[in-house]
Amino acid sequence: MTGHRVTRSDRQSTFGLAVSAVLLVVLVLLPWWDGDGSLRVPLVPILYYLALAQMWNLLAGFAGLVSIGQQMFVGIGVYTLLSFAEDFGVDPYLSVLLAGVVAAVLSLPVAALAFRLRGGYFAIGTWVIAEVFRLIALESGFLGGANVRTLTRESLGGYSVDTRNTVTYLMALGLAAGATAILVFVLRSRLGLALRSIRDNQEGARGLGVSVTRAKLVVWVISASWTGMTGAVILLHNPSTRAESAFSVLRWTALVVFIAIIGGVGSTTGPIIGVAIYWGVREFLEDADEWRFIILGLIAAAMAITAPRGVYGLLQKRWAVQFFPVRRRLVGPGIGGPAPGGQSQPAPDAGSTAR
Amino acid sequence: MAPLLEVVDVEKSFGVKVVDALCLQVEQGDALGIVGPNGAGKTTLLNLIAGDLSCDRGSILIEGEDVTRTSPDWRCRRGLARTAQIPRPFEGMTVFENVLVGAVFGAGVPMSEAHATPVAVEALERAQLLSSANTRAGALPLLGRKRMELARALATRPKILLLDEIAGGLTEAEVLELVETIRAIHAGGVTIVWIEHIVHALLAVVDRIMAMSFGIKIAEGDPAEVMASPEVQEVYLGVAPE
Repeated sequence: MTGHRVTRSDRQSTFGLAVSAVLLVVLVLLPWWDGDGSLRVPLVPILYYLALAQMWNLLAGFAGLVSIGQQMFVGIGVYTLLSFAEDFGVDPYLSVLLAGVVAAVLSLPVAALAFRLRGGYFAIGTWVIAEVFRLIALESGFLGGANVRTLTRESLGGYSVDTRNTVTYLMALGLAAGATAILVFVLRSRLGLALRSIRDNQEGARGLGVSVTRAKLVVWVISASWTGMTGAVILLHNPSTRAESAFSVLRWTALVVFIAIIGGVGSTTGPIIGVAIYWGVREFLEDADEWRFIILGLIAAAMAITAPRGVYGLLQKRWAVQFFPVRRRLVGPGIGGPAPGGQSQPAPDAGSTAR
Repeated sequence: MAPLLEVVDVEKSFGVKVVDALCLQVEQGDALGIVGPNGAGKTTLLNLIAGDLSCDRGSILIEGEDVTRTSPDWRCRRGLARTAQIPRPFEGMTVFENVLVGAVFGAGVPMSEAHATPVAVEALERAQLLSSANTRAGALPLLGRKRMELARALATRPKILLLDEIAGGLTEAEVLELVETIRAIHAGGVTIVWIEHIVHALLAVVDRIMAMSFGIKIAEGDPAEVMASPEVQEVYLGVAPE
């Protein structure tokens, strides 16, 4: 043996993990001191938008799959929950998991079509496929057609309003934290190594034995499944829906893309920053939905031109921070360069945004 | 036993025939040099062997197995590695991570990172890059990038290594350094197919040369004889025989 080993943590990432852990504990315990739900309920959209943004980030920022069709998986999640809970009487919270399964299964035929397309054609292709799903929901008598459908009190079982608020909040929190954790774990794994190599040079990666399509497919299915479960939780939070809003490209993809771009695509931390900014804009503009889209869209467009790696990219340019430990650093005899924890030659987990 | 690499009647055309009815056999332990003027089809041939291009006709066999219709990553896992004329670094990753990609995915079955790490370290040592292991690949100078191409290819533990003008663009001293490294790799049991314009570098390593012109093999055999042959002299203007 050569006596070399790989380390990933440094002082920053240890600090980052500690901060995240404390924050997570505070958020998990929140229902116990937020008696009337005045914090829990408004936090749910922030959390599910973080989950959606991280999943889009995983696709676009790490696998080069710029999907404009994420609303199809949100819609699939919404209608899976409606069908199972309303029509088949399955427990609504169990149905959230089923939404993940259904989205994962349906993502496979979608991949068979969309993966034939590259770059901008892939983006448009996913959008078109999402429209097909929307039209199916709109035309299907079983799913309710163009009518508003509501998750009724009966199908929500005997759970009290307070319990429902708490469970929905905790599920949204689990999806947001889980999405971030998935990103960190994927990046630390061999799959992450493959994805980063593909992002930097796809032909080079192939030449070294990386199965590009398989790596992208795995990421696609993970993202679809998590986005589907998020869709189900969105319905729990806002129990009335119709096909137009469940499959809304504006709400479930455009806004998500804005959040990810503003925060920083291709990093684990960027979407967290992006969602914090979204929260700020939302608080500032209260109920003006259209203005929220316009303002966030303008910020995103300005960021895409001036700072393509988002706020996180700007921070990193300045301080070379690594919030989650995903980089590999070889330590052992004969290796020059900075000591572990040094900052002089950063190898960002960000890199360039996938084209 | 079947040859390690066999190219049978391979053809590729981009409007004009770039590789024309070309046959080639490489045995275990060979070091084959490929020479020819610009546009002779050398890099295209290498791309066909590695799977970066698909053949219009003919077939490519690795250890007797037809791999003509397989992807580059599949051929890599079968023991065929290459360096590219224009390096293809993963710029946002460290040198070590670049090489680790080859070690993990280039093996027949993907290896765990723990098992791949010593393989990557060994490849870095052989390519004399260990001291830059934690440098970001995008920050490497040209020689470093060429060495990294080599280290990444070696990390896949190839049976056969295809080198595409790896000495091009380097200073004389750097060329000599690289030749030593490649010699050591060949001595370590790796079969080599090397395209190179810097003939003296090639002659220091290879034991056989094939010359190409306009997609056709015009000579093959002992390096000195091939380089001295009238056909090669004719197409290879400006290069004096040894």
